[in-house]
This record gives sequence, structure tokens and C-alpha cells, in this order.
Amino acid sequence: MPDAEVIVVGLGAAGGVVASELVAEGMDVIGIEAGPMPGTHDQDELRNVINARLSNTVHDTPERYRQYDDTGATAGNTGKFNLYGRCVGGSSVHYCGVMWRLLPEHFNMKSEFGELDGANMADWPVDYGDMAPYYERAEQEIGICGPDGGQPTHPDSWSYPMDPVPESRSGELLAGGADELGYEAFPSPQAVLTEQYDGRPSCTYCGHCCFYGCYVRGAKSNSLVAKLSSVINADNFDLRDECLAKRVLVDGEGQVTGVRYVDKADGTEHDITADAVVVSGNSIETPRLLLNSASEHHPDGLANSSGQVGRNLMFHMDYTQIFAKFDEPTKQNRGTWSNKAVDDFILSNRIDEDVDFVTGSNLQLASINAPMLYGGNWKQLYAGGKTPPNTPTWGDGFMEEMGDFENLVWVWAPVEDVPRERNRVRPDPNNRDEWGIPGVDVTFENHPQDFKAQSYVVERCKEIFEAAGASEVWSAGTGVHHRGSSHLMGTCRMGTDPATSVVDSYGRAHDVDNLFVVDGSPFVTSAGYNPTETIYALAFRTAEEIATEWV
Amino acid sequence: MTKKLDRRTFVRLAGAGAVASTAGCGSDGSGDGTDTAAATETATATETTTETATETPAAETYEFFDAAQAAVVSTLVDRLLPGSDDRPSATELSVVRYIDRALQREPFYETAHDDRRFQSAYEDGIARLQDTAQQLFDRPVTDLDESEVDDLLSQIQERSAPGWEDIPTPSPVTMTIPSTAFVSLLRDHAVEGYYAQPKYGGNVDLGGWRQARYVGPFIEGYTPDELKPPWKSFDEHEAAKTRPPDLYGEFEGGGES
Repeated sequence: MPDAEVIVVGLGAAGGVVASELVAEGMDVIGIEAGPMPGTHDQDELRNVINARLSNTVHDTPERYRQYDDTGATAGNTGKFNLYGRCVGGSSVHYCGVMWRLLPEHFNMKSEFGELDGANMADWPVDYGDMAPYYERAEQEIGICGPDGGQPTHPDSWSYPMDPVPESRSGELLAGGADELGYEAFPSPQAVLTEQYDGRPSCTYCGHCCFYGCYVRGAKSNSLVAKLSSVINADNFDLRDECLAKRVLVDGEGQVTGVRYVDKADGTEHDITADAVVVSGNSIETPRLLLNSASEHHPDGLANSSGQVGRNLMFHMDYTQIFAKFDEPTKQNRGTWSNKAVDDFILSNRIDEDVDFVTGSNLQLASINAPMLYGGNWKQLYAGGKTPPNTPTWGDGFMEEMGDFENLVWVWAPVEDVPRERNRVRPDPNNRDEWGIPGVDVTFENHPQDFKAQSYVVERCKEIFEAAGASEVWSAGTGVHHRGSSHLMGTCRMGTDPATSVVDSYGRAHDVDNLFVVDGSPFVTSAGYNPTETIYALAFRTAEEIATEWV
Repeated sequence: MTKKLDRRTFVRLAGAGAVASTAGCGSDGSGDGTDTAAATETATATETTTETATETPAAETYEFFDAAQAAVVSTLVDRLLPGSDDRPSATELSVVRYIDRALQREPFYETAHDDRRFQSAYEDGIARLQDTAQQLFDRPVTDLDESEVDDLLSQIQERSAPGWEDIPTPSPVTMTIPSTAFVSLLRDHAVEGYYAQPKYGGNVDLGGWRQARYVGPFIEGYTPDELKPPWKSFDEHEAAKTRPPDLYGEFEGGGES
């Protein structure tokens, strides 16, 4: 008798949904999570943002980052480059909660736009029609608010279960500028409750979303409050937090039999067994675990006969930031993380002129929710200031700039980066965590088209701000190769051909039929949207497959 | 209560690459590891039971800094974040108290971002800066006038001050902040002290937030009307709403996820 029917490794957006769904179906599930229960939340920017208490640390997963010409066993920089949740609920606890359905073209990038030199373009094995019912479940069951009719760029129409967030001054300014130029700003769909929903209270618009857990219990929807909390005490669910998966175990036939993990409380190792294992780390932790699980049957890493595990890593160009300053206060730190967005540049085929790139980006309002985050050093990511170029970093000039903090507007653009085989994650035996598990060696360079798409959308956004009457407009984080992100996609690409992909459309490994991967890893392309609603949708789809077909 | 970095934590941080290669990053490039040895020794020696002071900044007593170090840091932060007729200076908001506590604070999550790893960077950096002031002006930092302090800070920032030519650029991403990059570190800490929640020792009476015209968090949040003008003033909001209690002191609990 195995210890459980299914072990879920990683209880984030995807793992939280899969575990909860399977428990609700009556299956015996063990969920292990490397981080703790997140506990209570506050609105403290020092703890949550500057020090990112809910996220991974360099001690959890040592990382090495290198570009293509950075070769050799110890080349590159070591440190912390990627940011993801380290708690039950994973990144969905601290995310900004901006939610999107991908457009139909996003599932068919190769068919729509053809091959691209230096990229590994492909179509997803699912299309928008396959995903639509699961997007709808995510919107209903997680709790997502948004505009009637959905995203205006979408061909079909649907309703979110709640009205969108109320318009803020920064939303009004963005909409005014967009309208002036013939574009359309619309309310960003978000995992935010704008009314009481599913026993949870409405958002208070306190302005502390991204990097924070929600100060109002459950007003920001995530897999913990929306899904896991309803099954957490079920007899058929065994949640083990602060337990770090070390390897996935296999039998003499190469089938998965369970998981070996380290209990971080006392450092002891445990083997648990199950009929199936679902790996839901993220695009860093999932390939790390699979590749660290090499065995006689899987000499190049578990489920890696294609050699594709760890490859096609995508980040979005998520350093891309565009700022505007106005003569009057905007108080952009109030309300949710994102008030409105512009979708006119989401893909090259949606742009009304000829451009020399294929992808594009959503432009979404973001929030600098406290002065420390404007003038201070975010120790986590987006290194470099947000203040205008040439602003002094100290002295009277710096203080005067800080006095303009309430006059800002900030737009963030998750520019779609194309998949490249060489962009990959490998275990790094020279850089181990304190439990002896190899950390990760990440090789990454953006494709030239990514930079073209980035500069195009940045320029359009600047024009929108100027049309809105900004007195000063600037950008940051452009023109540099990304070396980490909080939007982690790819590395276990889904597909129909076992020679070129790792899992099928349900996340089932081609090589091992009782191993599933569901998180951002199966993404084939990255799309210029925050990935989490698609991760939720894939998780509902995988859970349904396990509960109905696989059992 | 052990105030300085204990040995286990230091070793753990060093092993993970988070202690800034303190050894070997000095401008003399000797790299003999004496910083590490010194920090470890200090760690075993220091015990202090001084209670947290709440008096005015002038009467402040510190737990990490000795009086001479505190005087140097005070001089520097007041030029990094200077006051004026309509804003308080760094020391008026007790930024030095913030830094003194930050250098001894338990990390928020495991050893994530343990500012205790910067203890030796401060000790070495302050001493090095004193030497430089002596070389450039024949006086210690605390005897310099404002324009001389500005000049000193600029020369260090521009890497033209004697002995500071080879300062490595500190990297927040890789968390390497060598002793010689002390001024960047001090600047970041000063900004934190000026704008962090008051419970950490700085931002007295929310003076930093008032300077930035930021109203800050309330338990009630903001109504949809308050997301647009006309804006209520800081004081109107304060009178009508309740601050989260942990703003000023121990955490008393907000929402769970």
C-alpha cells in the first residue's frame, strides 16, 4: 500500500489547485511544500518588499546566472535572480494578482508567425477553445474580477463573477492618454474581490498587493484562501510544509513510486510513496527536481529522454518599466496593484503598422506602494532605481525628487520573450543548498526580437503618458538581457511529440505515465500577459484528467 | 541576547556567498581573510543588555555603534538625506537608531536578508572613511563642514578619493556588498530609516511619509472615492481612520493570506 494515491510537490497556484481538487474528489493526497504556512500579513514594505519575506532565498536555492559566452563550471554570477513564493500558496500569496486569458494566437505562435531564427517557436498542443472552460473555472473558483465582456482584444465575450476594481486617478490618466491616441484602456482583471465572495470579504483598496500577503483576509484571491483552505483539515489530505523535495523516486521499470524529501525542521530525510506524483515547483524548481532525479532508467534526468527538461526557459522582459510624473498628485499607491491596462500592442498582428518583431506586450498600471520603494534599493529584483535618470541618489536633489512621490504613475510591461533552446536551467553541483541538493545554473539571453518589441511598447507607452499631460516621462530596465524574473515559464514544454517536448497537454510526462508537471513549466510560449490565470487553468485541467482518466 | 552576529549565522551566510567577499575586496587587494576572522572573534565577545532607548535623538544610546562611530554615521546621513525648512533631516527622524537596530535585527525569514552580515562593512567602512577624511582635510569626519562632507561623499562615489579607486559595485542581486562599498550601503540604509515603518526606529512621527506626502496604511484602507481627487489631507485621514497597530510596535496580526 503506498502512503497516498497522489503526492503533490509544491503547493503554489498550480499545486494548490491540483491538491485541493483531488482531495475534494476523495483521493488520498500528500502535499509537500518547501516553505511554511505564510501566517498573518502586514502592510510593511521593509519586511515584504525590500526583504521579500514570502519568497525564496539564496539559501533555499542557490542560483548561478550566465550568458552564452560565460562558460566553465564556475563562470557566471552566483546569487538570487528569480523570485517566487516560499510558502503554502506559493507565489499566489504575494503576487500582484493581475489575471489574463491568453489570446487564441498565443497558443499558435508558430502557425501564426512562422519560424524565427534563433528561437524555438512552436504551437501549444491545446488551443484557446480547449482552455476556455478552465479559464472560466479559474475566474469563478479562484475569484477574479474584471470588465464585462472580458478583455476587449478578445474575439469572444464573457463575464467575470465580479465587477472590476473602481477607477483610480492613475487609471483615469492612462485612459485619457490612450483615448487621445486612439487606443483603449480598460480595467485590469485581477484576483481581487470587489464584493464579498465565497465567504471572503471585499478588498479595502489599501494598496498593498504585490509582494505582500493580503492584509484583509482573502480579499486577494490565491490558491490558499480559494482552494486549499477548504480541504486543509480533510482526512484524506496530509499537508507537510517546510518539507523540501530532494528527488522523485522510481522503480525498476522507471515508473514513479514516490518522493524523497528533507524535513527542514530537523534535517531528516523521508521517503513517501504514491501511485502518481505531480510536480508543481515552477520553471526553476521543477526542472531542478527532475534533473536531480536522474536514475538508471532516466540517466539524463527524470522524463528527459527528449533532452528538453530545463530548456526554453522564459521570463518575460519583466524589468520593463515606464514612469510618468504629473504636476498634480496621482496617489497611485492607493487601490490594487493594477487599475487599468492597454492591450493595443499585445501582439504584432494587433498593431496597426508594420513592425520588425512578432511578439508584444500588455501595458498595465502598476503601483509603487510606499516611498521607500521609490527611493530605496529593492534588494530583490529590478535592480536600479525607479527615479528619473540623472536624479541624484542623495542630497537635496534626491530629497526633492522624493517630495514628488505622490505625483507618479507607473506602467509595467511583461513583454513576451520568445523561447530559445539555449535558455536553460541545469543543476549546479558546485553550488548546493544547505541540504546538499544542487542549486541551479541558469543560462539566458534574450532574442533580438525581444528588445525590438520592448522598445516599441515603451515608446508607445511614453506617448500615452505625454498625451495624458505628464510633465516628465522615463523608462527603466530596458535593453538588458534578463537574468531572472518572477514570471517563470517553460523548461518542461508541452507538446504531442515526445522527441521535442516533455509533457502532453495535461502535463503528463511522455516518458513516465504516472508523473505530471503543472505550473508555468509546460508553457510553450510566454505571451505578453501575467501567466498565473493560465497556470490556474492548466491546473484545473490536469486535476480533472487525473481524477477522471488516470485513476 | 547576543547582539553581534553569532558564529553559526556568519559561517552560514559566508558559505552561501552572502557575506560579500569581505575578504579580498579591500582596495589594497590583500584578501587575507582578516575581516572574517575579526568578525568571528567579535561575535563571541559581545553581549549587551542595554534597553532600547526612546529619548530624543541627541540623547540616543546605541547598541552596535560606539559613540564615535555613531557621530560619524550621524554626520554622513545628514548629508545623504539633508533637512531643510520644510523637511526633517535624517537624524531628526532617528535614522541612526534605525541603522543601529537593523545591524542587529533577526532576519524576517530564515536568513533571507540578514542585515547583520553588514556589521563588519560598517566597522571597516567607518574607519576607512575617517582615514580618508584625515588624508583629504586633515580632520576627522565629524569636524568637517557640510560642503566638505559632500565633497568627501562625492569623491568616494566617483571613486576618486585616495584608497577608494577600486570600489566594487555592490550588487543587491547577488547580495555582495563589500566593506568598501559602505557608502552605498549607508545610503540605502538611510533611505530605509527615513521611510520605514516607525517600529524599526526611524521615520519618527511619520516624518518621512509626510515629506513624501504619502499618507500610509490604515486598517480601513481607502474608499473608491479616495482613489481620486479631491484628496483629503494627511491629518484628515489620520483623524478619521485607524493605523495598523504594528506600524508603531509589535505585530498584532492582519489577514491570513
